[in-house]
Amino acid sequence: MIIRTLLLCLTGLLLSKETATAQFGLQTGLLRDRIWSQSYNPANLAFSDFETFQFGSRANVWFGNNHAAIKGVFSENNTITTATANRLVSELKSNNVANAGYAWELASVNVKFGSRKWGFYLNQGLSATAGFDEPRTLGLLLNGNGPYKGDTITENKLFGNLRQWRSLGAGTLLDLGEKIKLGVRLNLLQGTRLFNLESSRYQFYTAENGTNLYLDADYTFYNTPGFRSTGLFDLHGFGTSAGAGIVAELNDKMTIEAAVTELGVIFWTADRNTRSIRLVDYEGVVISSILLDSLDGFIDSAIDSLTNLVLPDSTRGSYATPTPVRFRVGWSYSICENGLFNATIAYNPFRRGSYTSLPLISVAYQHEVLRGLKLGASAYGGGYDTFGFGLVGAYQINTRKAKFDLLLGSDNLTGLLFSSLGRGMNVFGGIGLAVD
Amino acid sequence: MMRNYLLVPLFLLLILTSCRFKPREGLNWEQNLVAPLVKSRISIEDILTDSSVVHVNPDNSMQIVYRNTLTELFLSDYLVVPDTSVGSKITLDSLSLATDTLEQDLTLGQMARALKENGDPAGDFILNNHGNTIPWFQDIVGQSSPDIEIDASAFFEEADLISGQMVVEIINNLPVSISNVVFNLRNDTIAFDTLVRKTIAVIPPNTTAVESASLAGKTVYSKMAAQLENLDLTAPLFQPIPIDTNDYVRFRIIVKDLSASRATAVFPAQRVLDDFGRIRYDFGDDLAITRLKVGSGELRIRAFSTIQDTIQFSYKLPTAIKDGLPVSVQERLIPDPVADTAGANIVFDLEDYYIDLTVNGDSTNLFPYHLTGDLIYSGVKQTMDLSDSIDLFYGLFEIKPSYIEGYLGKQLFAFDDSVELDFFDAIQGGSIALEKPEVTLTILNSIGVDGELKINSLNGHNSRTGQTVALTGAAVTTPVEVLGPRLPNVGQALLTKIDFNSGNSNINDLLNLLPDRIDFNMDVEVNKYGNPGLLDNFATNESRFSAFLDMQVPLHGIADQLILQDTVVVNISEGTMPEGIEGGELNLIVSNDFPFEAAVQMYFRDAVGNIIDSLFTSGNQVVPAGQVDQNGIVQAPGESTIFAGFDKERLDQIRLRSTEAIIRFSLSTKPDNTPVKIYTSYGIDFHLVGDFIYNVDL
Repeated sequence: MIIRTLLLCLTGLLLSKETATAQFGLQTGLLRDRIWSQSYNPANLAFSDFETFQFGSRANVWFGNNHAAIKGVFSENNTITTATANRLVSELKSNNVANAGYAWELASVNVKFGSRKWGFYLNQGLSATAGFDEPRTLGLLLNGNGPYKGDTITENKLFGNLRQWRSLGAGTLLDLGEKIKLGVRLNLLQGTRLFNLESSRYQFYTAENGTNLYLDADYTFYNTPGFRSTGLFDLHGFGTSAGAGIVAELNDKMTIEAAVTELGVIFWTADRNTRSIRLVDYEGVVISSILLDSLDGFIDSAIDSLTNLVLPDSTRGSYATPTPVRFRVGWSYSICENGLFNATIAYNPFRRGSYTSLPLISVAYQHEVLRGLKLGASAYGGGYDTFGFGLVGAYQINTRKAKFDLLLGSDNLTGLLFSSLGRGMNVFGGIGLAVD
Repeated sequence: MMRNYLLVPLFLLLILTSCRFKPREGLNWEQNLVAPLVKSRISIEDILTDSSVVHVNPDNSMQIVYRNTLTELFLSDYLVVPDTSVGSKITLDSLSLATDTLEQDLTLGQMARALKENGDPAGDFILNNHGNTIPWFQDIVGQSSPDIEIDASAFFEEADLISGQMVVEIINNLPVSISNVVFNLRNDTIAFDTLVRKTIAVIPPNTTAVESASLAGKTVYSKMAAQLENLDLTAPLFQPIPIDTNDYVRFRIIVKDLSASRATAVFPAQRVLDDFGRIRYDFGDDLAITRLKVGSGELRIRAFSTIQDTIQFSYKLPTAIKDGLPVSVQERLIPDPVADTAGANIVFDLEDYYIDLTVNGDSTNLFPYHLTGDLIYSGVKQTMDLSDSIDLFYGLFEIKPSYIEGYLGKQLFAFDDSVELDFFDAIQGGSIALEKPEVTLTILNSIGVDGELKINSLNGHNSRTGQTVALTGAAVTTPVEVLGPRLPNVGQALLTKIDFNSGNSNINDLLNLLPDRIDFNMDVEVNKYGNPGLLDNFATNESRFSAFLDMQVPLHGIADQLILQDTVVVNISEGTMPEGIEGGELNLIVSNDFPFEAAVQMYFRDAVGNIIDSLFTSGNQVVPAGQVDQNGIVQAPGESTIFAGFDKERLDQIRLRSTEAIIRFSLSTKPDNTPVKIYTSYGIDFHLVGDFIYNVDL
């Protein structure tokens, strides 16, 4: 089951195809009066529209990679055909990176204490990234080693990580005047799950007639105990993160903003697993005499010997990982009473293996087409991949006592609508309530 | 507003229609996994099952060199030493008591004062003339003395005497003679009792009279009384007599040589038990053993005494010697203060003791012992009688000799047994014609006795075919004298061989049967011609009479469809063979050095023995023989790759129903009908490679 879980993680990472920047809220961040927007800029708390309290919940999932199109991965019966697998491998280049994740804002609440607004946020998130240089690494995973008989596959830049955490945050506004809103947020983090394969390498050879397997590999990974299942109160890591944002109204039509969020660190209690495998020539279970030795359990013996070959030495210790900090600057212009244009640059500066993401530049337009209904469209370039576009719909039902909000959208629909081009996708949705 | 509400289901519709991916069904794809499963080599050692029997000749050809022990005789088969046990209840013959001596003086003054008290003027006369010499002494008659109390309680309270003596000495230290002395001794506590009464006619001055009397049959008590019933003092007329009232008559009473049947007394140290005897071993038949060394065994003594004093007993085996010292066991039986009895349980290890069973060299199977018991003086009065006893149980137990000498008797040992030959086990069929096999019955005898071996039957049996071949011929029917070593050649082993060959038996037929079992029935008659008087047989712990079946079979011959087969357990669980395997191929890559063509097949059987599938569905797959040169030596191996494809349905059947797999090789020498030799370098190398289709289902 451990192997199945690892396969599940790695496959999810390697097959996901969208940009890693889908979680930047290219659309959601522009809905400043809705509570969801505060995740991307704490200063948006200033624009929340309520008298008694405001509540919101939102989920955001994404996956993507930087080279291969998603087409054929998710067919009707969820089967990846050999042709699809071969196409995926053929489209890969060097420095392949894939990521996936979700962010679930379980409960966000805005209240007022006196004249000051406060925001309280309970979130859960998962972020996963994997990368490799050799396309046949994915080929081994999807096709097995059969197609590579006689080949030596060398992979020198294999990495991957998966982190899951919960956060409890509080934010408020600092008074910088009528036109400038400054918001800050501080989060306490509970690390619940970590798997981090550091830069690893392997060399793998399958003999032409299959009689020998050669393996030469080094790997080191960290994982938290009980990786497969985590309880509500499991504490495998703890940490803090902070965020701050500013929104300045240059005039009635134009605003600029900047924000840094999720700047922090998590200290994990994790097992360090490492193993150096030096050019092992595996020829199967050696049976000194087929006529004398019992073959009972020889498959078990083969599995045991292979397991012993690759299983790591483990030591438990402390391990720190940074939180996925995000930088964001934007400019918005109200074209008309119901229309808003925005340009945003978002950036995640941390290295992932051998790959450094590029800043993502997006443009977006939102328009209130009906009373309470806003529709928006966005497009971006840069990031892990080179382009993408998205749509969003936000609907608000306004009664005399309260406002009910619905949100549905995507920052990247290319994978969904144009799977032969798109390398990933992102979907989010949320609900909200504001009581006057 | 109503129009706005209608937008909600539109949102939901958008969500539903966008969800093409169905995560609950799981992502899946197929992998082609290639992995070596098994690497192995079949050599001739594997075919012969027991590689230890394979011997390499100088030219690297091979032969089976096999030895199996048919039977063995050991010292313990010739001689079983029975336990010896002696139980006896030893009562006392008598109880010796201590000698006692009492003295009592009667002065002239005492006698004068007694006369005076009786109104006799002679009393004053004597008293008044103390220190004077009177011109004459007037006789005084009819004097008596009061009781003289004798207290022997320091020695005994009472005793029923079997024997004993009382000696009375009367020492006359008076200036006159004493005469008509009547003396008696009695138990003071019994009225009118008389133990001894004696009369003495005259005792001149300064002389001593001695009288003795037997106390046999008397019961004496510690309180006794002695009395002079009459005593006359006489002197010649007109003889001046010096009067000294301190002059006296001394009575000395000696009680001695007392032997009681019952007594309450302070008993003196005395030997109460002294038994010197012999124990004879009965070894059965006509065995006569002169000397025996104990490998293991014990002398056990259990003693129980009702005697109230401590008894020290000793048990000695004077002819059982180790390091120059005989067996000697000493123990004290100390009475329990409450139960008034004493017990002891002694175990003495006899390991490495040599026991001379000849007693001065003129007998066999016999050894002496000496048992004594001594009563220890305690100074305390005890009551004992002749019913007091010491119960003894002693003997030699579990004696396992490590060496014996003597005559081991005429004995007949019969052997009816079987030995398994497992080196042909892998051969399940076909035929083989071996060249020049040699079989020998080898007897190695290091027991110092001769015997005669007679082979009643020797049969080879093949369990697979049910066939049996009986060994026949002169080599079987002629009894063979098997000699053993003679003293002093202890440790020597003499060899006797019976060769079976095609000239004296049908041994070739027996071996070509490929027997897996040899049944034999043989007799060995020991000392058939032995001389009992010589007593020259011996055996040690290391001595053996061993019969071996020795075989030397050159691996040189013709094989025709010789079937090698083994059955192995198949237990393919879901854990080891995941359901994700959809099918594929098993590839058998073979390189054959043997000059045999090998047809290969594997059958799968269910729990009731039905064959449910075979590895190669198109029949046996043939691995070509190695190519031999003009000398019959393989120069190039025969090579082939055999594919066995299977689909998921077949695999599931095998996984679910198969419990056993039969691996079968059918070997035939090539070229046909040409004897070939097997060399050490020959073997079949094979790799089993799995080429699977595996369905990954996340």
